[in-house]
Amino acid sequence: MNPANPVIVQGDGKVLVETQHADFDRARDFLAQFAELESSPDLLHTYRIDALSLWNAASAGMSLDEIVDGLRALSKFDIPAEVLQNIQETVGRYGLVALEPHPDGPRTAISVSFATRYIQKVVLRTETGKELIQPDGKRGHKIDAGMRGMFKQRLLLEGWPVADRAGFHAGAPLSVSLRGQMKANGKTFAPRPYQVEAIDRWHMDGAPSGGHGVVVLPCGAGKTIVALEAMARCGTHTLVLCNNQSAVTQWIREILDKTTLTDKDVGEYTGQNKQIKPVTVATYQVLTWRRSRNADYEHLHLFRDHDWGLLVYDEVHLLPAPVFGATAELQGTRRLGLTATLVREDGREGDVFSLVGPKRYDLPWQFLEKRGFVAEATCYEIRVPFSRRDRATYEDADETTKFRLASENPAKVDVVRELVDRHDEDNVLIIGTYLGQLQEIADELGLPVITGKTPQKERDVLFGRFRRGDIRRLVVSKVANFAIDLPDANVAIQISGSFGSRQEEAQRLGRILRPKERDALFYTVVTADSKEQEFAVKRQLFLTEQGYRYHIRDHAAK
Amino acid sequence: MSDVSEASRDGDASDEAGARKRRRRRRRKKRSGGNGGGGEVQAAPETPSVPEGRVGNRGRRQVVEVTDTPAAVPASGRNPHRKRNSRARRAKPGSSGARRRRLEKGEVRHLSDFLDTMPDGLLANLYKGLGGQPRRVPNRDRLIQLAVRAVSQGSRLESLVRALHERERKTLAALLQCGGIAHNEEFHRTLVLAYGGHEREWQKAVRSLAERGLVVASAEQEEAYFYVIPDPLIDGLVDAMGPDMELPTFEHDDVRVIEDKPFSPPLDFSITSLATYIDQHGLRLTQRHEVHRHDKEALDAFFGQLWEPDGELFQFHLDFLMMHDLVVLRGEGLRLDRDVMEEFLQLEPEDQRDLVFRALDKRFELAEWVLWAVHGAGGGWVAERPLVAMYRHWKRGRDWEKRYRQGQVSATRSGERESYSFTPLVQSGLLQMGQWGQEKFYRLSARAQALLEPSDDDGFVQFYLTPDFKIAAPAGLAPILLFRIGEIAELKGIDRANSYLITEESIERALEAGWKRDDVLQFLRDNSVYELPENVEQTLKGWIGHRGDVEFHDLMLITVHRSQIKRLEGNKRIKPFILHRFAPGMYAVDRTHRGEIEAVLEQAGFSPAREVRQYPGTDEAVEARANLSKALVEAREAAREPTRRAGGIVDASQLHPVPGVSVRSLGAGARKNDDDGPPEVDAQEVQRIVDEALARGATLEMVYLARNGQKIECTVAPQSLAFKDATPMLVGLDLGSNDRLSYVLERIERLRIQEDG
Repeated sequence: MNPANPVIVQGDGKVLVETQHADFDRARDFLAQFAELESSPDLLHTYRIDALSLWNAASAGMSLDEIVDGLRALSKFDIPAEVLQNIQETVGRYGLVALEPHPDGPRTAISVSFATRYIQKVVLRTETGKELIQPDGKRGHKIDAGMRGMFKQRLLLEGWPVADRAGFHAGAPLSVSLRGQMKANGKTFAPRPYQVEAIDRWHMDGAPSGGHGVVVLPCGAGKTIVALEAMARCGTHTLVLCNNQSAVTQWIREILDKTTLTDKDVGEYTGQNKQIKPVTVATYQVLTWRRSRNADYEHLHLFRDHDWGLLVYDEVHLLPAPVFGATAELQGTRRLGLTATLVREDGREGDVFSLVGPKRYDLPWQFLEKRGFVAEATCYEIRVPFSRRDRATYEDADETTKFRLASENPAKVDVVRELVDRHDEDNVLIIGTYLGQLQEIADELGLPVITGKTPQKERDVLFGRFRRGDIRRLVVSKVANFAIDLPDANVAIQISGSFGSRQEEAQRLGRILRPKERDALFYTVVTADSKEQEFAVKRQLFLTEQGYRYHIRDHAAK
Repeated sequence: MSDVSEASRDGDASDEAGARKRRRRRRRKKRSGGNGGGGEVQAAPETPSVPEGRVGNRGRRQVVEVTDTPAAVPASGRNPHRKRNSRARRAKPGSSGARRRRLEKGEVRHLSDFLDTMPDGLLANLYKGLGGQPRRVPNRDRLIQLAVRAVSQGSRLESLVRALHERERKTLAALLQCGGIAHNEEFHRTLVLAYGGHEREWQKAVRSLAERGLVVASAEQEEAYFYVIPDPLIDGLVDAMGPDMELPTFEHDDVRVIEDKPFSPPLDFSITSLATYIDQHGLRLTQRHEVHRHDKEALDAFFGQLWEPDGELFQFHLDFLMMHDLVVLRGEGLRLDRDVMEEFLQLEPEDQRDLVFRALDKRFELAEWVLWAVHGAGGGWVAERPLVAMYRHWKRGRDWEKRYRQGQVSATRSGERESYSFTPLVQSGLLQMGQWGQEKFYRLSARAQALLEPSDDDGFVQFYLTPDFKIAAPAGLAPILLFRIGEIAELKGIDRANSYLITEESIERALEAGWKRDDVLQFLRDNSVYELPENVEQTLKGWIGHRGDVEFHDLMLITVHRSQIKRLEGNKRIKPFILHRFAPGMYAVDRTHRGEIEAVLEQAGFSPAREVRQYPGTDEAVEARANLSKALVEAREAAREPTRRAGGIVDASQLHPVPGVSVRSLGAGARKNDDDGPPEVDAQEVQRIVDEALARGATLEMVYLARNGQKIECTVAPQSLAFKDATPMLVGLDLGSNDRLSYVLERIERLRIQEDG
């Protein structure tokens, strides 16, 4: 036992790390290689060691001794025997079964190799082994090339993570490189060091073991640039899949702005446009669209009809099931997954591991924050009391309307006015849920407002003025949660929200995380001693779990 | 004889034991931080007589300090800080380290007294055995003097033991393990069982020892008697026997550990964690008084890191809690008795360990001593057979001692071949069992190690509190701290670091248990590794509010003149009775100890008042005080100016015109209500006036009875009549506050339309 160390390894595989410890940086960098960050409140971070995280580490070449010795050196207590045993058994399994290129070529068959005779015997006896593995010559074994994804997927479920070293086909060539200056504003551009490092680890100099896998970077860290670098390295036709129409627009804007590609090289495959060009950006929605529940997916052919050499999956943790199916058939194509978290709501992290590839790079946001790549955000909860009259109305109201009454507390207007005055040099977004309240604030303060009803043309004008600095305040409704083209600000004032929704909080906070010269501040105005304040506790938990500094201030009643 | 020897042994505290106690004291001092852990009251009210040898030591232990921090005393009123004046030795049996070679004065006198009562022949034998020549000694007194000197020189006994034949050494070792007393015939058979050979050979060996004066016999009855090692020799012999008394150890890489649970935290950690769990979840019992299956499954899953489902370790924990009433049966389930738990946690660590050993003894006789014996192997494995042999000697010795006291000399064969298994100690998580070939071995678990020799510095004195309201409390924290965390936060997981979550509900529970806002915040501030996160502090303040800012106390208070404060607080005998120090010179005491307190005060030279001041006092006193208050009111009345006295004599409504004086009538419009406000109205009038005001757009003056009972005078511009839950309401603008408010018509007591101008 060494209480002076920074780490506690729990019997259930959780790892607690003191963030104020002198060895924290070392511990964090070490743990990030084989454990997933589960929560990162200030002072104590929690990681989880599980099979996938260990296989991710093993695929990156980390050895059992490195993990165990490193943990022992950092831990306060002895490492629990069951955790050691689990690490030992799990890490050792990776790569015992491997896929290698077949002499007949990658389009027909893939060779299967086993670490030992015993492993071969055991794997051949599994259901997957019996169904998919065929004898190949006297001693060899192979699978059909089309079964490559399914084979990995099914063996993983049986506890045999497969090392895929079968290689990829080149795809149709495309000359693409990154610009030295951005097209839109002419400013100098170069990928950041961590973005280059991420792609180095993913690409592995073109080795068969590289070229597939997932890069994990926090919001605002520039995942798009990582993909552009990957396109430049591979020099091939690329299909980019992302989450929604707004993201498609942003992707295309970024590609045209930062690479040598032009309009004729980049197409959009969405509900509105069905262009297939050397670089095509599509949404998951359009690929998984079908006329009825029993009909076929009409657009999945996009994967097969073109000679793609690289598939990019944006927000890979949101990858829908049918796309997994299509991806399983395209294991001969290089794949890059991008995400801020590997945790999936549906628990299909294993499929991401098998079909897209293991995690290749992971960078905590604190690292980026320290180096100024993302803004250092501070959250404030400002509690405003009801006026006497509103308090009486609130107390008399039934439970269902109380939250609404608290959210629309008219006293919030004064607070917003004060905050806006205080930040007269900053770009401020005032975000809310209730249109009447937003309109009232906009009228009171004389600010432009954007809601779902605002025509796109008018939005573009306002966004443009905000981006240029002609206007410094913008009142926005829920559209801000999803509008990718919403310009960045450094101050957000949230006057109402659902507060239970973690996604909404993350999206709204994401608006101010891009690096700026000024501090990023996220204010939330809540009504004191009300339902809204109760809900705000959930929000507080979420944000503090993410590691944001959170302060509570009382606003005096007028 | 036996009583005297026991007392002597109790008093024989070694330097090492003393050092250990000092370390414990230091640790206790360190641990006493945290809420309610003040622990200033140290000495016991009663001071039973102790052997002479302890006087000096006792004096040192009764150091009393008076500090400003109030002592929290459990509800039972018993003083948890009571120090015992004597404590059984806690060390390996027969450990030479626990003894001194040089005898103290008292011990020499005791030895001398003992030898003085010994028959001449035995005394001469002993002296001869120690290398002396009794025939050359002129008289008995001189012989005793020389024998005492020989015994107190450890080297003489060592030489004697070194000269013994192996068989004699084995015999002596076995007899010492039996506690220095054994039935002759049965002892021979026991030796045959342990070492083989024939009874007569062992009999011969005992005789040889007797010839050297090391063994004597009790009175013989039909050839049966007890062998006895003279008590003053035992300590010296145990020292001198050294390796013969120790258990052989074994080391081999291939020893297979059986029934080992990898996480073996100190017992106080798991006991406190289980207590917290029961406090927060409760355990329902079936009609057969077994834990309800559903609760048991949940509990087993929760404590999965500590014990196997249905394991003996859990049962031991639960039995311990129930045995000491920490957990009691209430209604259909088990509930924690917080007061007793509080008292248990306030006990000295040594006292807590005594209770644990007592509980262990109930499951396995002499458990503590088995653990100490295995502990002597220094972490190595101890083979089962020698351990069983030793244990049998202990058990037999205990039986023989009992029979000796009862005068039962005749031989018996019962219990002679009884076999013993240490499985209960293994299942209780205190011993690890290993197997190598057919042989079984035992060694201490980390849990038992911590129980026998608690580490001076556990390394963890604080917990981790994070801004997301989670607390991680590493195993090794003081149990009182763990329990306190459990009082204010929900226990979420048991592991190397217990995890807790502070929630509004947990804080609510803590308040009900008597925590105050400042206590909660201060506790978190004091005991968190890092400073209290601002958002947590703010949120907790919001949850707690100002509840409990004013408290009632029920107690007996003693006060002392300010000139005597230092004298009283500095008195060691008075200090234990002080339960709480409110302010200098003002203290809470237990009213049931009033007599003792008075006696102690008198002994200390104070002159306590005979009468107790009563509040509110006797009926007469209450009446007198009431009269005084009344008189005061009257006096104030009397202080009014003479010219203004008439105003208060008669009720205005009872006034009449002076006879013969004409009275004028007033016009209706000029008539004013008694207080110049709107007139009292009934429901129908209210409805009518409001309707009229709405129709005319007039303003209303009214007196409104608010929900809190306050009568509010207000002027309202009526806007509409509305219904809420069938109750008619007036909605209007309060012209005073400019707020739009609604008024329940039934609560309008006075009302009128305000006329323009």
